[in-house]
Amino acid sequence: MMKKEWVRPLTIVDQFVPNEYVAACGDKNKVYKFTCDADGGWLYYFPNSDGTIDGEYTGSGSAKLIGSYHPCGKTHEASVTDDFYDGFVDYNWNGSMDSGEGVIVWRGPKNNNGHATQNLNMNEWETAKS
Amino acid sequence: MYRTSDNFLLREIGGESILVPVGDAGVLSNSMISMNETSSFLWKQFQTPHTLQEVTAEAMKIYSGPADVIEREIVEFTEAYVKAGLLKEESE
Repeated sequence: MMKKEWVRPLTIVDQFVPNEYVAACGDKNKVYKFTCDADGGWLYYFPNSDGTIDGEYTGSGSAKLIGSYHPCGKTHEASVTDDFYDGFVDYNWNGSMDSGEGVIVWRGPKNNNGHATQNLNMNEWETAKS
Repeated sequence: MYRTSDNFLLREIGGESILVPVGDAGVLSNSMISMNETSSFLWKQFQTPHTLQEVTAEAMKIYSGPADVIEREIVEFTEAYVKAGLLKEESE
């Protein structure tokens, strides 16, 4: 059999934005003032919620790497209907969540980005109507 | 030993190999993942659990090229896919 020539394996990822949006009644246009203030590092999040969003994860799901993160220092208007996640910035490079690494992650308006805060009490987050 | 994640299905459309996210595909949930021919070959190999050595040996049977390059690029492919959640490492 004639062998084929080896070509470096390539993968191209195209992300798209879902076009369906469902707002919760009463929360329409309500936003959190989300300050992206966690110190930089490799940012992970837990897609499968443990039921509470508090920067600690007690569920059985695994952490997903978002990527190298740097705090932008901005205060974003994050819709209260967006998904927020427990996560961590892996300051000691061991790939798991350790004390002092917990953050709350917001994936941005298109759910494809990584923003993190060390303010772990969402009840304290400032809200506004956009 | 590695195998493909159940959260992605391989579809061949118009001669292109595309991974379609299903289930909990994490950060790649809203993505279309296109692979070239060699990536597609590697994906198919890992659809059943295989070691890097087994897949490299299979690649050598089908493809021609410097053995060290093929070996290295399969390792790089595997590391990248594991990191992205496309492949899972399993105990033998």
